[in-house]
Amino acid sequence: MYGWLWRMLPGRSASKAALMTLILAAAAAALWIFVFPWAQAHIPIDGSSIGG
Amino acid sequence: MGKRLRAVIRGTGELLLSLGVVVLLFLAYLIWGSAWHASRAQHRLAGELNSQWPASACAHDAHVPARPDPIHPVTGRPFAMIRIPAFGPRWQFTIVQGTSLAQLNVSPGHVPGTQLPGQLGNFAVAGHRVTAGNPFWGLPSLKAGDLVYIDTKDNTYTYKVTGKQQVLPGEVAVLDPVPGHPGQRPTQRLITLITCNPAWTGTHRIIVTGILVSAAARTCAAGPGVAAG
Repeated sequence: MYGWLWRMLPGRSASKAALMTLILAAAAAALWIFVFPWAQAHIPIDGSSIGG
Repeated sequence: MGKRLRAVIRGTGELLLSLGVVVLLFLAYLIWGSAWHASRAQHRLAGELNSQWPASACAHDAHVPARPDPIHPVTGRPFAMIRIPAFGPRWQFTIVQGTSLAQLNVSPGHVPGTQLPGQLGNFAVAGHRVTAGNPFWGLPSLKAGDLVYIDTKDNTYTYKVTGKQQVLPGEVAVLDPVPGHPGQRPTQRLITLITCNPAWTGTHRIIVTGILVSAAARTCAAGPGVAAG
């Protein structure tokens, strides 16, 4: 997976590394901003109410 | 064939490692990210109350008698503030209507169907113990005699803690107007605060109960200032 991504990226090692960092950071940011808030609203981490 | 198998094994390993990192990141989000998210929501909700509570609604002197207090809660919208000095002088949160995750992830919420602040019966409020700024983190440490202030547009209701107990999530009788006695006519004005116990679980609830000891017009010093998230 990461090997394939590495080979797909253009340029030399330095630019590959920079792009790779950028992609991973973007993925982490998307998780943090969009996916995690959604998940928190659907997974009862700590049940805090009573009844329904 | 061996090469192909190696690629599959390597791919699976990378995927599992990545999932592990995502889970750790989610944990970090629950601890820090959700607190930041809730703190921003608290600023917004307190601001909403501020704009709905005109300066003329508060009393400039303490001990002005309580006034009629018509509250019409709307799901997800704030209608009161809760202050508990035992949690620190700056500790305050809004109370929104409803206790689904969408509400509890931004603010403690009023359990629908239970009474409103100051009314005869039982005013029940649930809040996260962890995540969302850990509003009810300190609930288990409250002692008999600690005070809980509920500010509404017109009044401030002071409740005194009388006890706490651990119950199961399905024990809805603690929400009754007379807790434990469904259908009985209430003669007392109670408050019930609810959070999870132990922290990070859904197995039990800890509830803190209190009784109204005073109701007075809200003073101008007790308003929805910017809540500490």
